[in-house]
Amino acid sequence: MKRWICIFPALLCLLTGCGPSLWSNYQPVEELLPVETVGFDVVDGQVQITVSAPGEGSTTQLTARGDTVAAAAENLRPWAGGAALFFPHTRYALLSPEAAERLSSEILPWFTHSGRSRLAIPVFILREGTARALLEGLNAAGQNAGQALEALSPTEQPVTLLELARELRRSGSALCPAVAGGALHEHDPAAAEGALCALNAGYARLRPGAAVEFTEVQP
Amino acid sequence: MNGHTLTARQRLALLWLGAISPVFQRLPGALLQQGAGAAAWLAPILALVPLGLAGLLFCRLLRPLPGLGLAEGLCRCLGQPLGRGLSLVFAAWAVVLCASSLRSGAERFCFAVFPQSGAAPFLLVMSALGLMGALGRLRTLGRMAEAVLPFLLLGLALVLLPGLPGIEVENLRIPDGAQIPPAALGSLVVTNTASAAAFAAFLPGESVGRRRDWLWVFCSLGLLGLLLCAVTLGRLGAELSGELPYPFFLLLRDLRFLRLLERVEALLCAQWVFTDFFLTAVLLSAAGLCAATVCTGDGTRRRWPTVFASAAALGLAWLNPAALWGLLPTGNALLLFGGLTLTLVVGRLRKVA
Repeated sequence: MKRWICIFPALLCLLTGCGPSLWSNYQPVEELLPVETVGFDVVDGQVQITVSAPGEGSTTQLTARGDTVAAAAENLRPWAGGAALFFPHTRYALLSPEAAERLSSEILPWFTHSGRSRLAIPVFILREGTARALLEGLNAAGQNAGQALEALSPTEQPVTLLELARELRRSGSALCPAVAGGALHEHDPAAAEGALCALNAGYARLRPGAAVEFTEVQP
Repeated sequence: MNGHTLTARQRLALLWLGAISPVFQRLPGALLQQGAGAAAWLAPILALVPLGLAGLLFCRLLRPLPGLGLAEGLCRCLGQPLGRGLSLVFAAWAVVLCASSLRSGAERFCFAVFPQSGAAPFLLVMSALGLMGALGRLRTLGRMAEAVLPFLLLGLALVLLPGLPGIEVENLRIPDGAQIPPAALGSLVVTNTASAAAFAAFLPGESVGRRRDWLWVFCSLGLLGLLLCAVTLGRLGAELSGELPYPFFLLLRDLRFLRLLERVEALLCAQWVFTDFFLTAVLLSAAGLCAATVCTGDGTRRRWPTVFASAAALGLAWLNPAALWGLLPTGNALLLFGGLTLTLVVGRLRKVA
């Protein structure tokens, strides 16, 4: 039996990636593109995903569309230039009002099944424009999207994806901080054209099967 | 003293370790499917009664069988022909339970840690490990269980206790009395789920142990189920918990230790490998012993029946027959509780138990 006890930990090593199908779960760290912020829009009836991945000196931003969230995420892969998009450390999620209506049906299941992301990700609903435009505007202004959204987080705990999904099911409605893009060049002529900053824009009220409503203050 | 019988402590350690694997996988999902809703956390409390009775049943059945397992007890209580026949049924049932355990363990691993993998490597590795454990000396398996138990308890504390502050009492409030009957029925689900590892009673043991030890082992499984349901439902709510696959393992993704350490769910999930291993080894040992008892009259020549049971379990797990998995709760309740209670009654009437 001592022999078996020796073999036991050796076989356990199989569970850490020696099998051919297990190996696909592992990527060299230099080939990973860790996504920090992910934005969801609905454009022409299709889901549009925009990811922002800050790197050394520059931020990589990718956008793709698909009929479903999973399809749109899959369509992002070819644009990643051989790198593997890495969602487990996503810090923020931006949702357009149309995308927010698909929170329960598509976005949460994608996070739980494919994204392997945490579920306690702070969520912001866009009051105007698209997530893609805001992320591009922040990038043009040289701002890190994650830090810009972190600065917006209310003093109390931000509302997370998990809390939104839970409240929508339990009480039939949920409140979420709203965000809007402010044009920088209106205040700073030196700012690049299209550069945006993130601004607090009140709160969004989500209800299943209903359009998102916005309020200025938390009721 | 020899290597082919367990001490009472080892048998109880094996039972407890093997039982927590299905408990963590099926709760609270199985209760929510029954419509228990926010009252699902009541089910483990109500299950303390049937769990306690189950503990007493096993203690009572094993008392006249020092150095033996339940397979011999069946033959003694029911007579040779009927006892051997029932032993064979129990052997087949242990194979089915083992296959289900292999399959669900592999699927949990694919979901929680290796999302791009198939179930095949996990099925192969775990069935090989379980076979090794089952073919070795029972005393060694028991000692392993005793050694692993404190570490697993520490792991459970690390997983469950940080979840307690995040519980929202509102999520646990029972909205109306309509959810209480399904929760009461759910107590049988909890008992059934925790009883898979009761096949440890089929392994020969030197002594039975004290009655209160058996009571404590079964009731602690109910308390663990209560903690699990409270943390999961209190943080996710009943509605969301019912929709998510493996809701407790999803919560592990958000676990943070002192704002310093996060994303440790793979490490924490890995400790469930031990519980899967012990459950597989116990079920294969029990199947081999029951089959050997039928063939040879005693359980000494159990190598080939165990190998055959392992191959059958692996084949079943590979085929993944959903219809068969649907029969597990009913079959388990009928065999483990109905069959064994009947055996005890007949044994008492014949004055051999």
